[in-house]
Order: sequence, then structure tokens, then C-alpha cells
Amino acid sequence: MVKGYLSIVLHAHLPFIRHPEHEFFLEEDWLFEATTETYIPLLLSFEKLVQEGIYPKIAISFSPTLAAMLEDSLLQKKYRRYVEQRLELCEKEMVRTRNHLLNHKTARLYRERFKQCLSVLDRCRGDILSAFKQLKDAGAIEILTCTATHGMLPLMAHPEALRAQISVSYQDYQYRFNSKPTGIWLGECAYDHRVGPYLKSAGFEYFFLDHHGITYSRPRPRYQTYAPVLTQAGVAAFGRDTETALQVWSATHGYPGDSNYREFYRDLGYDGEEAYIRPYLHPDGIRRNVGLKYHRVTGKVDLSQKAPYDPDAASATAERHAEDFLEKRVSQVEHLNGSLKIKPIVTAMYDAELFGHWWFEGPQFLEQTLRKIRSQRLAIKAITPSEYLHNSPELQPVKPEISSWGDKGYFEVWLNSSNHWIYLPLHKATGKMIESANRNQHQRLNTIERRGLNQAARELLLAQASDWAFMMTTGSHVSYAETRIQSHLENFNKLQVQISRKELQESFLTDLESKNNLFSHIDFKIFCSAPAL
Amino acid sequence: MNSEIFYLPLNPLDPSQKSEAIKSIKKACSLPGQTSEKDYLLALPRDAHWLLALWELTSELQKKISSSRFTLRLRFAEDDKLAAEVPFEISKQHAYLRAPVPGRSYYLELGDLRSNVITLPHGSPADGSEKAPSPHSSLRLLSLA
Repeated sequence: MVKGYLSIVLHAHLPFIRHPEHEFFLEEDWLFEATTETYIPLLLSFEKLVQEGIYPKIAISFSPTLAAMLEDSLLQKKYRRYVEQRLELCEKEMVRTRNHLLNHKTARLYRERFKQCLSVLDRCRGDILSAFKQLKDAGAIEILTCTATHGMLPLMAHPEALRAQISVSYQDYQYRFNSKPTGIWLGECAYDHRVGPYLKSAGFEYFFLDHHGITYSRPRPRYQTYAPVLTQAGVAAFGRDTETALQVWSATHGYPGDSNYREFYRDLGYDGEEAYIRPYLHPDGIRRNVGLKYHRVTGKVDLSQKAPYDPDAASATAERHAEDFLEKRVSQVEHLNGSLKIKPIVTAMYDAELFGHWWFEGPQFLEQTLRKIRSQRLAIKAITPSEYLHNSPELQPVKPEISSWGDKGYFEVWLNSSNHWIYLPLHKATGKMIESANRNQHQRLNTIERRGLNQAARELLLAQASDWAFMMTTGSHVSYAETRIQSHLENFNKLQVQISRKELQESFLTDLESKNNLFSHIDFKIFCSAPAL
Repeated sequence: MNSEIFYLPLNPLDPSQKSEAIKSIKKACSLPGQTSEKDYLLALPRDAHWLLALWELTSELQKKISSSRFTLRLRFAEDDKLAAEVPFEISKQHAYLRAPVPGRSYYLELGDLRSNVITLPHGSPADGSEKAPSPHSSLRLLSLA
């Protein structure tokens, strides 16, 4: 008898990084690495389960920026080149490692992985999102969206900016998946009380909050995070379960830290002989990860002391961890079922890229978990948020806590002395966009002027991505983050000036449209003033 | 009511070290021929206790304020009552302020200039409500580990 539910929610997101002006671009590799290690392995796991007659019933949010990149023909072309180069390296690795049993086994694993990637690309004509869409259309998984460019909503003073981030994502999903989205992942799970009415008005039924976003609600929610709550706007909010978060995320208790799992920080790109590895680096020749890693976590030892990776031992560990995870879930829901007198829902929320990219064996762990839930006929059932809501009793109305899922639970990660100086320029640009939208909404604009205003809206949305502030805080790729904000605001302002002077340069506009080419259906009027909801 | 306001200490990543990047972004945000066309006073929530004030003033407003320091007032949005009043240097263009009460809505005031309204998080669970379920055994074990 089912005593409770497990809802696994993965958030797949990367900022929009597309540089047609460069043949190779370092930050574009993030997409290629995540596609190889996370998106394709997850896709193959889900498809395998469906072939076995098991619907994974997992929810995955593809942020509009990531989805746009996955669908982009230029990036698809660059990704195919990346895979083909890696496959060539893998063939060489089969020779180089032939006298080392474990490394040879690992090299074979990589060769198979890259062959699988090519096969998926061939099957999907480069567009792996279409394969996820097929799973969605079959009812095997649920696909969610995310705020348009992963904007940090509570740090936007203009309600029009909130509405744009939310509405653009809704429309983007409709065009991409030919259906209406029901759920949204708010960028960084960042929420304040202004957000709910815009979610409702756009058409969303539910979203997600970190644990304290629910447990610190007013009044205190009766079932903690084990049942969604209803916001004042009439949109449901699911809360992140801390037990499942700790078991996977915790540096000390988390599964990914097991000594048998693959070590992320040892990579052939640094270990290989320079002449050997050089053809697989960018033309600048700077050493960086190439994705072939031959060591395991081993323990708390120096990187140089890491032991060889054994794919079979890692695989067995992933299976054991899936078993352990489910045992704990069954125990958790039985306990909650007894104490709360409901069938609780455990909402396990993770960044998708954790599975495969950071935790190499993560997709296998997920696949085993979902398979065992069905095959072992446990007291817990996998369920998507939509399914739960359609069958759930009345939800408790509360006012959720203003919160995010970042460190310390609020907004300090995105608002501190390393990055706070970006917010006034962003605020001013938003104000200008609103003024310009209001001024032009009833004007008889020619096609170029309309295109210019739409592109200005795109540039502003791209500048608003939370990723830039995050990178400044972590000290990672800071100059790239600064350059991105600067270039989008420069583009925005040039467009605004040219439009206001009736001097819009079509070549400049066409160049921007071709470079920052997401949100093909955007309408600048989404930024028009509207009474606060 | 505690109406003290504290400055956060500057850390090594203070933007004063990033002056070039800041300058270029500010330049990017200014329309040619329009120097500080408006006065800006922006409030942003950081957590239950802290908010950030950001400002940019026209030379006209700066002239109105005779001294090089000005008084920034924090008010409760519900009733406009003063929550705190503190002198700041105009040139710093930002200040972190400690709000006296979490979970309340505030706005900033500088002369006649008024910021947007923000609401801070509560930072703690609600009092005196339904009994929460006891923690699950494995969670207790994790918290003890």
C-alpha cells in the first residue's frame, strides 16, 4: 500500500552563452560538458526505463536560456565537433591505456559514452530537447520552465521586470513544447510576495521553494514541506525536503563523496603530456578539462595521491546508494504517514548538472532509484508535482517566507560587495525599457523599429541573469560576467538611443538578433506599465 | 524599538577595487548627452535584517544638500513611521542598513526622494501555531553526526 510520494525535481540551467564570433569559446564548453555528462545520460536513463515499462515520473525544468542553446544549430554544430574530437581522443586512449587494466576499462567507458552521444545527436538531428519532449508527450516525465533568464526576482524593484521574466518564460515554453506549462522553477528559488500574482496571471499552477520558504510561512504550515501550500495568489508551492537534499548535497554525508566515485578534479587535460593533449585544447593551448578522468575520490588525500577509478566498483556503489536512498524514503514516509495522518510528498530538488557532471554516477543512481521504486513495489511512489496536485486534498493557504535556496537562505549570494554595483544600472535600464515600451505601444512602428524594441527587451533580460552576480561572488569567470552585463547594457542603450532618434541601424540590429537570438516571439510590450497585481 | 543602523565591514572584494568595471558599466547605462537625468534611490532586501540602499543623485539635488553628508531615513511602509535615521556620505553611493524589525515592509527617504518599498523576510518560523511533526529518525541521526 502506498504510504507517501517521492517527487524528484531536477533544475537544468545554464546561462545563455553563444559566441558566433569565435570558433572556440571557453564558456561554451559548459554546455558541451553538461550535455555529454548530464543531459544525454539522463535522457538515455529515462528512455531505458520507459522501454522497461517504467515511467520515471520525474520533473525536470529546462531554463529558457538552456533550451534555446540546446535548440541552436550553431551550438549543435560546435557540440558535434566537440564530441567527434573527444571520440578521436578516446581511440588514442584505448591504445595509451592498454597495459593498465582499470584505466583501459575507463577509457572504454568514455569511448562508449561519446559514441552514445553521437548516436543520440544523429537520432535527434542534433536537437536532444526533442527527445525529452517525446518523453513528456508520452507522460513519462514532466517538463517545467524557469524564469526567462534566471532573473533574481526579489532584487528587481520594478513589477514589470517580474512580469516579463515570468510571462516570457511561459510563452517561450508554449512555443517550444506546444503545450502550456503548469510549473515553474523560480531562478535560485528566489521568492517574494509580489511574485505569486504574476505566476497566477501568467497561468502557472505551482512553483518550488527551499525548506524554510515553506516552514517559515505565516501561519506555520501544518505539514511542514510534506504537502504543498497555497499562496494568497492561488498558486501552489512545494517545499524542498532537507533529508533528501543532505543525502545528495552534503559534503560530509552526501553520496557523491564516496571513495569509489569518480574524482572530478583530476582530468587528462592537466595530467596528459602536452604534445599529446594539445590538439584537444582550445587554440590558446591553455590546459583545461577535457572530460576524461581516471581517478576516484579515494578519500581525503592530495589530488596526486588519488587511486585509479574502477567503473564496476563505482557502478555497484551507485546501486547500493539507490537502495539506501529508497530505504530511507520508505522509512521517512512511513514515519510521516503515522505522525501527520496524510500521504506525505517528499520533494527532492536538485540541480540537474549535479547528476553526471559533478557526480558522474548520478544518472545511474537516479535510474536505479526509479527502477527499484517500481520493481520492489515499495510503500512509496514516484509522482510528478502536477499529478500530486490533481489528486491532492485541499491545500493549506499560507503566506510563504521570502527566501531563496542560496547560502544562508536569502539573497546575500547575489547581493554583496562583490556584485551590488550591478543593480542600479540594471534598475535604470529597466526603467528606460518601461518608458520606451509605454511610449511606443500605440505608435505605428515600422518593422525595424519593432524589431529594435524587441531586441532591447532581449538584451535587458540577458543582463538580468542571476548567473553573473553569482560568478562575481564565487570569483569564477568574473571578468566574463562583468563583460556580459556591460555588453548587454551597452547594446540596450544603443538600441534605445537609435530608436528614440529614429536612426536605427539595421546592420547593428541584425547583428544583435543573430548573436543573442533567443525568445524569437518576444514582444517588447511585455514591459509596458501595468497596475501592480 | 531598536533604530540602530550598522554598516557592514568592507571585505576584500569591495567594488572600490573594481572601479574600471564599474565605470564602464555606468557608462554603458548612461544615454549620451544625458548626465544623471534623474535621481535614483533604490532599496534591495538582503536578508531578514539587512537591506541595501543604492543611490545616484543629479547635481541639482546634490546642490540642495549643502553638506557632503546627508541623512537617509528608513521608514515603515505600513504607517510611514521612522524606523531609523542615519547620516551617509553622498559619494559612497551605497550603504547596507540594518532594519530594526524582520518581516516588515520599508522604504528609504532622502529629502523628498523616496525609494521603492521592500519587504524583508521573517528569518524564523511563526509562533504558536499547529504542532509540527517530530523529526524523522534519520534526520536526527544526521543532525547528531
